[in-house]
Order: sequence, then structure tokens, then C-alpha cells
Amino acid sequence: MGVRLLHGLLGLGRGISTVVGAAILLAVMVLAAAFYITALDKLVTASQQAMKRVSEAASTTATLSSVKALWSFNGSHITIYIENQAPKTLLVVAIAVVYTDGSHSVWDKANSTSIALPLAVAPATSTTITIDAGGKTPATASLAVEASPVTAVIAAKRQDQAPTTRTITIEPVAPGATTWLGKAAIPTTRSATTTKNYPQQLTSTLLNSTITRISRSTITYTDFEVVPVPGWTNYGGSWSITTGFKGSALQGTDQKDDGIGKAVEYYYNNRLDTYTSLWVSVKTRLVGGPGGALGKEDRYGIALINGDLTRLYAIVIRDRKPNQGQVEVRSFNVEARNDWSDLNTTSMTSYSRGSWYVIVVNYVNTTTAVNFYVWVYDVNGNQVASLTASSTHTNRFTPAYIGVIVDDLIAAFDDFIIAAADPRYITVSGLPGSGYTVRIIDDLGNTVSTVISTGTTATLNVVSDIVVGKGVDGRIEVYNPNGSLVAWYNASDCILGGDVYKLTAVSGAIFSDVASFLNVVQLFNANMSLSLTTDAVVTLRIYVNSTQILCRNIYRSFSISTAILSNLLQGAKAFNVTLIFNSTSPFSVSISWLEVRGLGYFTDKIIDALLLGSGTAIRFYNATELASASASRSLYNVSAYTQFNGSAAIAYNSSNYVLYMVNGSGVYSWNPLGWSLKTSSCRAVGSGARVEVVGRFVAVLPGEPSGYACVYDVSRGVAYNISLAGYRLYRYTASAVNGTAVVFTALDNMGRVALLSLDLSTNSTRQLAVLPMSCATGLAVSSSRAYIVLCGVWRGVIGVEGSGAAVWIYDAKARASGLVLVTNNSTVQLMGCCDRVEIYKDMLIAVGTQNILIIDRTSKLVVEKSATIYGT
Amino acid sequence: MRGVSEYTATLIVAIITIAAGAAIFIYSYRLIDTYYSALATAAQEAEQSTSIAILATYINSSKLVVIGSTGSRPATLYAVYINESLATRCNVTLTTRDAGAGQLPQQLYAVPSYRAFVIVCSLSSQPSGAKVKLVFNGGEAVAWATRVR
Repeated sequence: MGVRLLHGLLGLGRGISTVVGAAILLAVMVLAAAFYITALDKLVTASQQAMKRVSEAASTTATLSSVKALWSFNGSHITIYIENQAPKTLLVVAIAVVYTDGSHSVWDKANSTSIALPLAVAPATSTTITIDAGGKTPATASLAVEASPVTAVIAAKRQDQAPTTRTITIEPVAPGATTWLGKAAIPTTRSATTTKNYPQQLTSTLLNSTITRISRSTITYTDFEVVPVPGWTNYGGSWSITTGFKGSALQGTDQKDDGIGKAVEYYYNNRLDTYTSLWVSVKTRLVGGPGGALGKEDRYGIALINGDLTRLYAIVIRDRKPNQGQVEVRSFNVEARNDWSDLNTTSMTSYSRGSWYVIVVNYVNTTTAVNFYVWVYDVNGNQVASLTASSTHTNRFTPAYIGVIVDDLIAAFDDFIIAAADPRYITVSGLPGSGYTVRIIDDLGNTVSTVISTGTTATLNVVSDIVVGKGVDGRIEVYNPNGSLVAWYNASDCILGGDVYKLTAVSGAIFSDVASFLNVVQLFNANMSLSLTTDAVVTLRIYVNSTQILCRNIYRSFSISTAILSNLLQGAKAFNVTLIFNSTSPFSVSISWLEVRGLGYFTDKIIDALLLGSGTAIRFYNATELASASASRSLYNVSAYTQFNGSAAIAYNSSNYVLYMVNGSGVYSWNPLGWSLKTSSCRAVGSGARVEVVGRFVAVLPGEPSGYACVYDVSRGVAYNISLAGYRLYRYTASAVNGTAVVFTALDNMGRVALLSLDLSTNSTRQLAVLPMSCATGLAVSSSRAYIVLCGVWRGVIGVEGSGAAVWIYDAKARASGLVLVTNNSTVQLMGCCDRVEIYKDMLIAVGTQNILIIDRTSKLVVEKSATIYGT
Repeated sequence: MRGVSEYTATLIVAIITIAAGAAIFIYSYRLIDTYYSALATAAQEAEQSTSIAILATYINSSKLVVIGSTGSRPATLYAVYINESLATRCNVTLTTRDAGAGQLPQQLYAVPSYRAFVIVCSLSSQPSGAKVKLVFNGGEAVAWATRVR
């Protein structure tokens, strides 16, 4: 039992051990499983994290690789093209551009006024950003792009453009042609702007008129201011001075009847019987009486005496009643032997004893009679009597002595005149027309007569004072219809009835206009053209800026084109044209045209010009037009009088607009007035001659086979040579100006073509590079680059094959050079000699025989991708 | 002597086995958890870290120019290494003067988000090219600079 119990206990112990072992094993398995499960979970989680990161990185890389960025440069602006081909939006955060000069520009959200960064670019879209390069040349452009969560940089790739070229048809160009490009003044003829419109009508006005006495019919006169009157004598009676009508008078007294016909006479003691007809006038009045011996005649008046003093005619006023106030024409010893005979009598109107009366008589001796015409006036000029009479007796006579007569009384006499014409009137002719007032004023200031003209002639009645005033001085005045005094005459002797005066009226008109030139820089010549018509002969004086340029009498239609004096052109921008018309008669003028045209330089005609010397002419082309036109014609041509065959060249000074030319005779300058030789010290010696303007210097490269440059200092007027240090100019020498230096091609001592720079500020020559060619169409320089358009086969080129136009580019900053094959355009026939390549903005301009070849500098020419050759 | 009791032996073996298994479990778990925690932290840091892009680097005369930009997160610049040598004379500026200039590595320079910055370092020599490493709080960015002039 015990054994059994023992065996039983042993069995129980084994079973317990088995259970414990199994439990232990189970626990170990559970622990192992838990560990495995936990470790696996951690591993899965970690793997998921890692896969997520890898996926994100791959996604970002894929996104960035799906962004396409290109940039291009047109010479002034950078254009960046961004295209998002990824399925997620990109954010352009910043842009950086590095320039070839070492500077850079950066744009981000803080300074992107025109770009608006950050810039979102949606999937499958593109955008373009344009940036001003500020005159610099970009080297790289890059963009910071965020494709969340990564920010990365995309370096934009430059858009590779092929060099673009085109041609412009121009007039044929002869071999040996040469060019210059820059600011040039195009000589232009244009009209000045006038301030007035045409036609213009003018009417003359009376200007400074003069009055002259053109005739005087008086034979003798006296105002009896002095008695005895010189040249007079008496026949009987007593004669003295007394108070007259004005001033003094002659007083005669007949007390003894001791003159002719028992009267007394006082007469002008010169025979006048050569006159068959005369006018006689006297002013007379009764002073007192009777005084004669018989005391019954009582007459006073005019005596017409024969040469023997035996007979006379008397035209008298009788004072004795009943015939008092009777005017009588009497003869003595004519009709009645030794006695008086009345030829005719008439009564005066309202005779007043003692009043002044004017007797006017005109006798005419015919073959059959002596006829008398008599008028009597009071002192106011009113006619109080008139009569006629004739003496037909065989004893009639032609009066020889003429004077006054007093019979049996005392009478006074004033204003005596003997004239060949009617002395009652004074005529003034030449008046401008009606309405003019003519006034005669005596020496005492009294108006003797006034009349208003009804035509060009005025007749003034001076019968009241035929010997005006006291017989001295006197004045005639003419007033225009406006009452303005326009002319006057001051008598140096006297004014007498019967005088004829003429007013020489100077009618005038003045016209002025100002002809102004806009934008004028300098005038070289100018013409004034004028066309007008007048209705009278006028004297025309033309003044330009106060200088008379013409004086001519004109009538009716008149046209003229006359040059303005050159000394008036200096600095002139406006011309004051004054036309002065004068005539002796009134006139009107119709100015149909007035124009001033000038040839000169104007600011709006200073343009970017391509000057082409070809044949014997220099053509001016509009450089701006070359940018777009397919054909171009010259704006202006200048005759050079020399043949551009390679031994002549041109240059231009843009500061003073002077064209220079060098040929075998020297350096000439040109302006629109013509050519002038500046110096004969600098001459072309052969083909390849060049000339350039560098500041005040005109640099001449004489051409093959010279080895020097000749410099003409314009300001000092001196010329000197600069050695080229062993280099030789040759037939394909091309040149351009770069700052103070002339860049040109020449042969070195090995026969290679070298690119040289001659600095005129230091007179030193240095080599820039050796060129891979022998023939160049021309050379142009822009900034630090020299462009040489080749015209033939080049050599030493690696990686470039073919023929045709090519451009060899030398970059002084990079100190590298390259060759770009431009075109094989068969329409362009580039020539060898001479220098015909210029740069204008983005264009490289090469002149061929029929065309201008335009090469776009902003295309491939900017990037030197060709083989580097011979760079030094 | 019939030896140790089976119970005792079993118990001892069971205790030893369990202890050893527990020790191994604990050690392995801690090891795995440590690596896991480090990986998770690194992933999280990577997800939240800053990023800088270098737009351009070039040598101009005796100066090295580094142009960079931040993204949506600001960054702090620490230093510039040129050819694995610490550059000691570097000025850093933003595109505008809304923040003052800084000097690396003497100063830490904070760059706001979406901003470009320019670092100009003086060079004692004039190499034709140089390896440029920019160290910042989000790591480092490397670029190669070439001479422009």
C-alpha cells in the first residue's frame, strides 16, 4: 500500500511536473508570440513612415521635374516662361537673375511690385514673367519653387533661338561703298509759320505829304507896305503911305490934276505891253475929297497907261453923285482926243464910301479891240459889280504901264497885283480826294480862305486878300476828312492870288508778319516769297529783321522770291517781315501770299540715320525704318564729288551735325552749304581707308599700305600721325568707334588679321584679338563687343563648317571670341572692302549690293556657342 | 540520495526559463522601441522641418555671392562653408531693408517665410569655383559656385 502510495505519489509528482513544464512552455510561447507581434507592429509602423517619406520625396522630385522653365532676353527685358506639368500647384517664391557684369537682381514677396510673388502656378498651366534687365545682360535666371513641403530651385534654361535675319531692299550699292550710323540731321526745307492768314488787304493812308508851289502867274505885286514902292513912279499927285487893309497902304491925292487926263497916276514903271492880256487887281477905298483942281471928277481905281504916257484906260469907282458907287471903264485920249470917254459903266451894289473894294480887271487886246472884263468885290469877297467894255478905236493900245489912278479925291490902295492869270483864286491840286479841308492863312494868322475839296483839286477864293496878308509869309494847311493836319506849306516869300500849289501826297501802308521756324537748330539759307497786287504804282520796301532786302517800284501783279541775307540766319528762328508801301497817290494792296522757307537742321529731323557712301553720293537712310521695313529709300542725298572705291570713307559728328569725308586729297567737311577742305595733311593713300569721329578728333586710317593713323584735331586745326606699332592697314580694314578709341582691323607682322584699338586719349595701340579671316564686310562695336561680319572663307574654325555670312564676335569683358554662322542667304551679296557694318539697337546691319542684311543681335548672336578661336 | 525533488527541479527550471524569457523580451522590446521612437521622431521632424533653396551662387571678383530663398516656413541661417571651411566674413541681407543685415557665423540670422536672402562672403583667394554649403536650422543646402568675372 505504501508502495502503491509511493508509486501513486510518484505518479502524481510526474504529472505535476508535466503540467508545470507544459505551463512553462506555454508561457514561453506566449512571450515569444507577444514579442513577435509587438516587434512586427513596430516594424510595420516604421515601414509606413519610411514609405511615406520616400513617397513624398519622390512626389516632390516628380513635381519639380515636371516644371519647365525657360528664359529669353531681347536686349532689354528678360522673359521667364514657367509651365507646370505636375498634378499639384506650385508656388514661385523667388526669382534671381545674375548678370554678366557680376551683379544680380532678386525678387521675392517683399520687392516684387510687378511680379506679385509668391506666384501660384496651377497644374497644367503656364505663366510668363517679364523683367526689365536694366540695361544689363543676364547670364542666368533661376526660380525658387515650393512644392509643399519642399522648397527647391529650378534653374531656368535659356531659350535657344536661331539667329534671325532679314533683308531690306535699297537702291543698288556700288563696290567700295561705306557706311556710318548714328544721330544725323537731315537737311530739310520747310516753311515758317506765319502769324497771319492770307490773302491780306491793305489800304493806304496819307502819310507825310508836302505842298509845293508849281506856278505863279504874278508879274508884279505890292502890298504898299513901303512907299515909294520900289520900281514904281508917279505921274502927278502926291503919294504917301497910310494904314491899309492889312498893314500899310498907298494913299494918293489929286490936288493939281497934274497927271494924265487931269488925274494923277502911280504905276509900275516897267513896260508890260508885251502882254496882250493881263489881270490887274487892287483893293481901294475912298479916303477923302474932293481934292482936284476942278473938283468934280472924284474917281479912283486902276490905270492902264500907254507907253508914251499919253493915253490910258481907267477902271474906276466914281464917288460923285449922282453917279456915286458907279464902276466905270473909261479911256483917255483914245476914243476922244485929249478927253475922257466912258466905255461902259455899272452901278455897285450898296456902295459905301470909305469902304474897301476890290477891283479886278482882265484886259485882252485882240486885233480889233481891247476888251475889258471887270469885277468889283467888297472886302468879304462878295461881288458888288461886274461889267465888260471894249475899246475899238484906232488909238486903242496895249497897256504898257499899269498902276492906280486918283482923280479929284484922296484914295488908298492895297493888295495890288498884275498877273497873267486870274488872281482871284489859288488852286491846290494833288489832294487825295474829296473831304480834305484846305486853308490859307496870312502872316497875321488870319484865315483868308477855306474850302473843302470835292475832288483832287481845291480852288480857294482869295479875292478879299489877293496879296495875302501883308504880302509876306503866309501858310497853306490841308486837313484830312478826319480833321487831322496832313500837309502844310509855309511860304518863304508870300502867297498870291493866281498861285497854283500841288500837294504831293505820300500815301503809305505798312504790313508786318512774323515767320517762325519751329524746332530749328540751324538755318543755312532762307527765301522770302511774296505775291501781291496793287492798284497804283507804289514803292515797296521789304525789311527782314529790320534789314532792307529789297526796294522796288511795283504796279499791279508782283511776285518775288528773294534770299534772306546770310548774316540774318545766324541763330535766327523767326523773321519779322515788314512791307512798306509808299505812293504819291492812294492805293490798295492785296497780299495773296507771303512765305519764308528755309533750308536747315531741325530737331525733329535729327534722326537715327544710316549714311551710305556709294558711287559718288552719300545717302541718308532712316535707321528706325530699318527695324521693320522691307524696303527703304534714302531720305537725302549729298553729292560727294568723289568715288567711293575703298579709298574714300565717311564719318559724322553728331554733336554739331557735320559730315566728314576723307579721300586722296584730304579731309572734307560738309553741311548744306557745301563741302570745305579741313585739312590736306590727312589723306587716304589706298583701299581700305577709313575715317572716324572721336570727340574733337577726326581719325583717318589711310588704308593700304600705310602703318599709321592720321588724326586731325578739329578744335585746334592741327593734324598729326600716330604709328600703329608695326601693324599694317590693308584693303579690308574696317573700323568703329568705342569711347575714345578707334577699333579697327589690320595685319600683324605674321600676316594675320588683328583686331586693334587705338585710344586717341593716349595715342596708344593695343591688340584685342586675332581674327580667323582675311576679308570682312565691316566692323561694328557695341558696348564691350565687336562684331565683324565676314564676307569670305574663314580659317581656323573648329566645329563650324559651311560658307556664307558669318559674324565673328569678340567680347572684351569675357576676353573670348566666337564665330556664328548667320545665313547662307543667296539674296544677300556681301561685298569685301569696305566698312559697311553698323549696329543699331538690336540689329546688326550689313549693307550688300542690293540689300541691307539685318541680323538680330538678341537671338543667337548674344550667346557664343560656337567654337572659341584665336581668343587672346 | 535520490537528488533534488522533481518539483523543485521543475520549479527551478520554470523560474529560470521565465526569467530568461522575460529578460530577453524586455531587452528586445526596449531595443525595438528605441529604434522605433527615433524613426518616428525623425519622420515627424522631417515633416515639420524648414527648407531653404539656393537660387544662385557665383564668385564675383573676390566675393562669393549666395542667393537663397525660404519656403512656407521661416528659417534660421547658421553658417556658410566654402570648400568645407567655415566662412567667417559673410554678410546676409534680405531683398528689402525691413530687416537689418547680419553677419554669419557670428550671428544667427532669421529669414521669414517666402523671402529671398543674399549672402556675400569675402574671399581671401580668387578661385574659379567653390563648393558652398549653407547650414541652417532645417539642415544644410549645398551648391557649386563658379566665377562670373
